[in-house]
Amino acid sequence: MSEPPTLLIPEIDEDRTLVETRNANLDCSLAELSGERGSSWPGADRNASASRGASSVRRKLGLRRCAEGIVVLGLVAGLAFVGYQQWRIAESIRKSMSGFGNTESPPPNHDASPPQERVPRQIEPASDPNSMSQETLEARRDRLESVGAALIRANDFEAALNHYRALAQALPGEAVFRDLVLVLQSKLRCERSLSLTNVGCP
Amino acid sequence: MSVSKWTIALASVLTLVSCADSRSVDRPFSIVFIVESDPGLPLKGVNVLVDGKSIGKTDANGSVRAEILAIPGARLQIEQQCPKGHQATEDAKSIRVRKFERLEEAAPRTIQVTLKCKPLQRLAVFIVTARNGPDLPVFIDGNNAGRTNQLGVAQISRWGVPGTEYAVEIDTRADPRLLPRSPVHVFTLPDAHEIFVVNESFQLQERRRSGHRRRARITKIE
Repeated sequence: MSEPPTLLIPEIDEDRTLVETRNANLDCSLAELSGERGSSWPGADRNASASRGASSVRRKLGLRRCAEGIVVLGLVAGLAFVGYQQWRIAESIRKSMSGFGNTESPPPNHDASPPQERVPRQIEPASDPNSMSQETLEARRDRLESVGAALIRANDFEAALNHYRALAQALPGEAVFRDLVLVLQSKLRCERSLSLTNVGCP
Repeated sequence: MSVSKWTIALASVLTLVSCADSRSVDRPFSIVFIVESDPGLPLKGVNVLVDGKSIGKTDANGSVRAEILAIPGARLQIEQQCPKGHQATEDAKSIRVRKFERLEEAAPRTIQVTLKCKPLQRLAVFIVTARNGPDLPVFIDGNNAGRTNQLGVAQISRWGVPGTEYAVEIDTRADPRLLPRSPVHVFTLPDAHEIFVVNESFQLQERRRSGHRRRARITKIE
């Protein structure tokens, strides 16, 4: 594609000189070009204008090659820069995601209630029913029940199941927590079967 | 002519005999029966019957496997004896067994049949959240079922037949300032365990000043 075309250079003499620039050794250095000209064209003095034309063509072609090289280098550098930027973005997302995992924050709230009405849905490590003594648990029971209700209201059944499972273990006398675990398990199973088989629950 | 007639007759008889032979032979069919009470929920201890004969009870995974000898193309009547509190969703199920082998498979494929034993009763859990409504009695169908806690939350569960209607009332008679007064929510239990959320926000009505009547201001118009 970048091969220079064969040029016909008009001569003063009757015969015409045909210069095939494909075989010419092209380079960016003009000095080299002139030196090369001398060696590869022994009949230069006889055919001076022809050699001048050829050298100018070579020079032009050399410059073109250089320009092409610069463009390619620029493209590579640009791609490398874009790649680096993407890597930085991915790294920051990964960091923030690992941060989410550590804090166990719930999924986005789809609750229609106003913000001031919302009960904090995050199950704080301190409020984990399993890690509490019976007295503390009884004292904080209202709060734990409120958190569970908020999780159900937000349709976060997965988190609600874990929460009520812990409550049912901590308060085995409360049948309602066991019932809640049963219903939540059934609802989650239905959701899974719906996503796998596209067959809904009754 | 007569020779060719005899040849054709003999060939057809042989063909018929060979066909009849291949069809009348009993072949073993490996069938796995899976019994579920709800989608994805296996049911243990269900007796499965094939053509009236018991082949065994389901295990913890709700499955029982059987090797059944049958003529390819035969129909088999499948029945399940559901445990107490469950009911089969349909009468006897009928399946037709066919010989089906794939060239790349060494052993014949196992047939899987899913059967249902639906629970007769379902669980309804009511989550009551009453904003500005701490320590209020909650009634279900007119019966006291529980109270809201200090944060206005109550959880109540009930077993019922699908289609049962429940009227959940938050009783505010103890505090007449609360509005709305004793709101009632009605729910219908579907054919599945369900959670019903009662979300109520109470407003505190300001008390009217009783005793001294405010004197009406007299404006003299001349």
